[in-house]
Amino acid sequence: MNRSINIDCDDALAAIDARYDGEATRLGDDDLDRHLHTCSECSDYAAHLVTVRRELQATRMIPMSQEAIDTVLALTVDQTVAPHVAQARGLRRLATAAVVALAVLGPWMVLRQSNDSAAVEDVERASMEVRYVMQLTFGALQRVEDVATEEIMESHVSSALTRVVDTWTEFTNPFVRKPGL
Amino acid sequence: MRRDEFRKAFFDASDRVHTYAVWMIRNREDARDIAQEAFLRLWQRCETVATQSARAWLLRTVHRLCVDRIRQRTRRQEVSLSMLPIDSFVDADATTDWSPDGDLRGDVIRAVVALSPEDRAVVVLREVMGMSYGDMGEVLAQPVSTVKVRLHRARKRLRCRLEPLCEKRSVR
Repeated sequence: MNRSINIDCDDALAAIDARYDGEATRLGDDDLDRHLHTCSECSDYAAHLVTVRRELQATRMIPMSQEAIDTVLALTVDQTVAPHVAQARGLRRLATAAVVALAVLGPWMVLRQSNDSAAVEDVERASMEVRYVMQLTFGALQRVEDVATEEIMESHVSSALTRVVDTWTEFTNPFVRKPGL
Repeated sequence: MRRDEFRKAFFDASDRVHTYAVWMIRNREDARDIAQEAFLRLWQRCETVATQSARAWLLRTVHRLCVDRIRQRTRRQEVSLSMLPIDSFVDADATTDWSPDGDLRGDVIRAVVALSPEDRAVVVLREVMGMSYGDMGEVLAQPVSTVKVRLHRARKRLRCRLEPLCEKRSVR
């Protein structure tokens, strides 16, 4: 083992690594330089590091193929569009069922609340109410399909449902005058 | 990391992740599969990975997948017939003194590729990826002191592999 300038080659080699990698060394720079001037083994090692780094840094990054990129995106971010649309479609089916139920139950409720002589007039009024509810619901759900983010979609759906409930409450309240009637 | 940040993280890291996998596994198909697997895992664990550490997380995952794949190969005594040619690693436009017949750059690449997976990992992370000891420690899940020792040993072994070639070249 070479002990020139009172430095072990093992210590010097570790210090060469650290200096070359831009990390802190335990040896002072001057001590290391003096050692390198007198120790051919360590100076050869330092030269080897320079060569290896120069040659490896000339290698290139190897990009993923377009096919691999497409596969990753299809299985991750691109997949997120589908659940939103599917969810919106599911909600639309649910709303359609609710509106159909309203269309059937609405006139029946009106007929139940009214006396026989006013039945025909009440049924007409009920059908207009149902149409009003349907317009509100489908209007809101149409916007739902166009939006991308879940938060906006949820706010539209909740607002549509609120309107449906409000309208239904108004509709079943005989003391409230409905718009357009 | 939020899900809508994934695309940016993917494009930021895809080249490095794939390059590391190629150096480690030395087979383009396996490297592609491993890189894809790492990104799919990141997607599944988006909520638990911080945006700023996504790249290190990906490299760590690729490293583990590569080590597993190499172990499988060793168990099955597979001989990789589709090892990458040296020019896969080299950008022809960026080289002046390189030729596939064998010169310094080709020798260095061959010597690195021939190192053990443990040695190859530290050399590639440091010299090709330019990572600090701390970042390497994160990728390899090891303390900085261990990384330093491993890198030093790997460099010595690399030198042992290169010395005869360099001497032969200087004689020529």
